Amino acid sequence: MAGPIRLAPGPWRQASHFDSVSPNIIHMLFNSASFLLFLPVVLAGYWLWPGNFGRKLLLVIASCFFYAAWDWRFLGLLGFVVLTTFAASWLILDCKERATRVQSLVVLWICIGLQLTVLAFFKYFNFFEDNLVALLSTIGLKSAASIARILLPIGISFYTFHAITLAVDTYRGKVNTRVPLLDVALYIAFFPQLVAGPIVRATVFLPQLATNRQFSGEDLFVATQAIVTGFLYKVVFSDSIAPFVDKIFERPADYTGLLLLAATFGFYCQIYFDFNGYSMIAIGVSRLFGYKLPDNFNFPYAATSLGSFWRRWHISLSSWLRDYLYIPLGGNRLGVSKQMRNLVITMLLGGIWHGASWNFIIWGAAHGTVLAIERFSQIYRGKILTEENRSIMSLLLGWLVTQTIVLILWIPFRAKTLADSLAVISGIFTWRTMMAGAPVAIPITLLILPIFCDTVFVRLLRSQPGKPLRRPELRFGLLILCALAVGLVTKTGLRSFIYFQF
Amino acid sequence: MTVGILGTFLLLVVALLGRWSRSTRLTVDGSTELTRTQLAAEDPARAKMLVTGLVVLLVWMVGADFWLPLPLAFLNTTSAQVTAFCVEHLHQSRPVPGEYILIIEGSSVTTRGVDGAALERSLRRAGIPVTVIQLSLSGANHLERLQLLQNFADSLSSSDWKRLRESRLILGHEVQALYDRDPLLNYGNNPFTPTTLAYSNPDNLPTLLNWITGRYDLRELWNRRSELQLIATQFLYNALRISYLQLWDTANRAAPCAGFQPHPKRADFRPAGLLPIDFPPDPILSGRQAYPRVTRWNAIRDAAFRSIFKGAVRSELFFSLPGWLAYEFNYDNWWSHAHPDQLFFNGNGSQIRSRLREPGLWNDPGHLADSGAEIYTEEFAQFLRQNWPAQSG
Repeated sequence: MAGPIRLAPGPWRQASHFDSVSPNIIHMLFNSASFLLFLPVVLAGYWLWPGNFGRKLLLVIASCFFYAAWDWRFLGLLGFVVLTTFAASWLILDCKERATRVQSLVVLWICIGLQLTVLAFFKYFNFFEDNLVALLSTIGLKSAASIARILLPIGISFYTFHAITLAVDTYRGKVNTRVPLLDVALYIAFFPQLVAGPIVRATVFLPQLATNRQFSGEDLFVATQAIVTGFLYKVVFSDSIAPFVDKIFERPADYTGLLLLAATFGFYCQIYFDFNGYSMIAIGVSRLFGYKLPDNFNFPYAATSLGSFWRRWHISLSSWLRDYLYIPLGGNRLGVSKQMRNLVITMLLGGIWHGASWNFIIWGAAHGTVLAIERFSQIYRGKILTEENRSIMSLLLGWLVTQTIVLILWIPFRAKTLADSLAVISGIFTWRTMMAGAPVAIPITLLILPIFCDTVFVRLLRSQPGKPLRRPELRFGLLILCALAVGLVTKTGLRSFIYFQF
Repeated sequence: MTVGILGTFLLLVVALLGRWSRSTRLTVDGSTELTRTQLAAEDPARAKMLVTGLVVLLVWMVGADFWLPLPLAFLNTTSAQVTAFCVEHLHQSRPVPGEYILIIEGSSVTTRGVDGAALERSLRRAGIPVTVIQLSLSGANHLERLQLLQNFADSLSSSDWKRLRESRLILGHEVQALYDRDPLLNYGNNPFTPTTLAYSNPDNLPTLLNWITGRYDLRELWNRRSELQLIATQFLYNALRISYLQLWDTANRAAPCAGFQPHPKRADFRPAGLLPIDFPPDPILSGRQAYPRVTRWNAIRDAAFRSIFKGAVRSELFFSLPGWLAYEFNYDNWWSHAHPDQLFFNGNGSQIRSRLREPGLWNDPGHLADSGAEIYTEEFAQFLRQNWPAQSG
């Protein structure tokens, strides 16, 4: 296992995830040139290889190469996670076969404990250290200043969750065969979903590894369509909106309420296009290898309640939190107050999962609180409101309230500090008219047109049932033409995906 | 605004192409069916789709060459600005019978050290009818310099070409140790910026490959894999016209900018003494085996530069600039001995070094300051006055 990599503060510290990354060619972003070369080579090797074992081995090697492109030192950490999960899943099955349920539970908890320790160490050490130093200094105790930082291994939150999923599903009996090491490695480290998900269930992915994948026209079309849409979201919409949002959030106290509101709405659009774009590219790339990954977004900005929002936003995480945290906590089974408590705890931990900062904690806690209130009101009224049993007015009102809450709660998610969050919120709610910063033009078309068309028209088109297409070759030709046109419209420069930090 | 409208249009077109899914939609907990209804081997659509996709790609790449010319996308780059200045200068100078046209190409040492306008004035005062075209650029690697010459050639009218052919056209090459030994030097400095994309032109690819194969063996190529990857992807970006719309949208007509960009003395350049007149020979390079091997590709480069002018170049001259570093001094002296048949102005000769000993004449150890450039240009003019009557033409 690679040791903790401590770097002195200063220029070596990881840049904020909202910064544009330097176009370092070793970075293997989906939107980078190096990925443009990497993918065809791996695809060609994969489909030319006749056997399933060789193909999977090639994918594992390619995934290691992909991960090492960021920082080869963390390959050891990834290997540790793979090996401990593999060992745990086999031991759990062994114990279950010998009918020693307690032992299997112990193995499960050791595995979960190891994964969470690794995650907590790399992800939260700096946060706890900073806060401890601050706390000690407030009570007058002289404490050593923080002299080193621990670098966050990219994708750690995602592959740790994959590892926990496999161990838990084995314990629960959903995975009831011994999974070969190669399959465990591929499940955890499969490069399309390695660094930012979607978080795929073992029960979804492992059965697909059992048989040699076939390359069908359907796969080709669906994959290309997802990739083109993903790129459009990311390199055209998100990257074009980002400079405006970055500028305002850099010094929020300098701008008017109108600009702050526009920038908050800008981030509301940016994060959707950015993360959904990433997810669609991941799903598309995976499909090019014949593997299906579940959808990660389902038009969340059409949601008419916060519960519905979370069933549509980052579905793989929210459903993971539901199945592996909320339900084990008791879920809906233990009365109203415990249901509400469980919701708040789940969302609070979801917030902390996103990053070690008070902003994420507030964001998660606020979402949890509103979800709990929403659930309480439903229980109080004695019925669960769905989109089918609500009036148009109720739906419109619900949509407006839900999206306003989501919009406001993106502020702490985006702001760099708690003070910045407060500056944005106070600027908007007091409708500040004084401005210290230079005038900034609001990119109105970019902020309104793409998100509106996506949420209304594209949602309508995608809701049509899937069917074999007529003249697929012509449609595919048009799709390639669209892909090339997306390249034409692409913004210059390379920006990282927002979710790569989580 | 254009990006928002075009992007949204594309989003709708992609969605309108339809949803194609024979198998059941996958849900997050995997409760749905994952089997396939039809094996790929039996899928007649797949081959047709691949062929159609390939045809569209090829048609796009050919069509883009006609309809989306690369120079329009890179109007704001410094190379376009220098080209505009030089074309303007050529048009402003009056053609006279028997005139010389001296084209100087080079990197930052030339950009800061050779004052083309002063050189021209000095030679004209001496009765030599000359027009100096200074196509030099700071940080320019050989590919950028090739593109700069190409831009200039492409900007010439038929009457300009007639003038070049009727004149004594001389191509002046900079000799510089670091650049001459490495065709990829500085290639990775500004990746994916208009500066680099402007010369990562698919038309230049065969020339670049020629240089690379002429310079490196396989082991060296492996060591330069980062640059090779950059080259491949940046050429691909241009071939596919990625980001073209934005580049084209923000490009204006290039504002002319001279090839001579003088710099003042840098405050932090404080050497211990005066510029040494000479250095002892470098023991590593004393056998002088390394230089011929690493510079063998220079002949291919010079031929590529020459060929841009379609046979109009009557002769060539070579020049180097002085520096504080021993390897540059040794290289220039080796060069002058290794190429006895070439007209070479050695900027590291003892006479010019003795005039440039004062640190105040320098911007940094590798570049002259404005006052140093003045002295160097005088010496260069003197050299040309002595040598040109002997030139052919």
